[in-house]
Amino acid sequence: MSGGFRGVVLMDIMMPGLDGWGTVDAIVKGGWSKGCLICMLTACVDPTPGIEGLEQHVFDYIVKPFDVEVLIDVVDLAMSQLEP
Amino acid sequence: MTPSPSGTVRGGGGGSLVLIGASTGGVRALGTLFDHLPVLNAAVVLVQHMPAFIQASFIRSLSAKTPMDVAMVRDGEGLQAGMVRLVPADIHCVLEQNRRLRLVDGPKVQWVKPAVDVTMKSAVACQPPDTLVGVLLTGMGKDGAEGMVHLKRMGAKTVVQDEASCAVFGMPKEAWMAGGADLMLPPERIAQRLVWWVGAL
Repeated sequence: MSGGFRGVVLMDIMMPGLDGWGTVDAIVKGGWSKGCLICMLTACVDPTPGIEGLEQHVFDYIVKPFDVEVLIDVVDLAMSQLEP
Repeated sequence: MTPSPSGTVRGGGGGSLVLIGASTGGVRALGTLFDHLPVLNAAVVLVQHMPAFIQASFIRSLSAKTPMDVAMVRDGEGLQAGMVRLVPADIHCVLEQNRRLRLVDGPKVQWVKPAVDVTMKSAVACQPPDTLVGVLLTGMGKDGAEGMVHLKRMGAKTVVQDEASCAVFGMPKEAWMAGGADLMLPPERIAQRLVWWVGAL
């Protein structure tokens, strides 16, 4: 992402090593959140960020098992928001 | 005045104000809400947690869904029926006594800026409660819950988005559990209720 990434990031929360919230924190601290929209795709129904305030950097949130049409709609919507 | 879902007619005066707060999933929920809204006989102020770089495209996409006048809040701007104003990123927005919107810097509230709570709490002091409506949509955390409780206690009408239609039920749930909402509805039915409460032009 160091080259000025602009796009949609789809990520889980429960991941080995660095979890989703740690990844969001790294994206924000790295300054990359100014070009990407983060969508969570997770089995975690009741999300609680480890660091307060990270939630404002999450554009949308889809709970597994998910409807693929919802996923397509969310990605389409996010991509449309990225248009200059 | 507009026919209600039940066939009778209700509606507020043109001085009504609808305050809508949203966070994660809010762009989707607001799209559905505005798909079902006519031009309201009220001003609408949106506090949507979102990065600054998508605010212009969000305003464009919302403008394509509604004939209401959608734009970013300008500091000192007066409220008028039929307008929709989005609070800019990284600054709070309050309502002043003369029904003007004021952008004010300050610390984050509930770890966010702009905070729904700040705008909602300011409105109660500046606008008759029976002309105020609070709406809290999908989002994590609890921003807006205190503001909704404050609005409801002062006599404003309040509604939160229901769990089934929320991306994340956090903010609406906090408001509901704290007694800050009269109703819990999906966005399309919130739209119906807004028409019933404030009327359409």
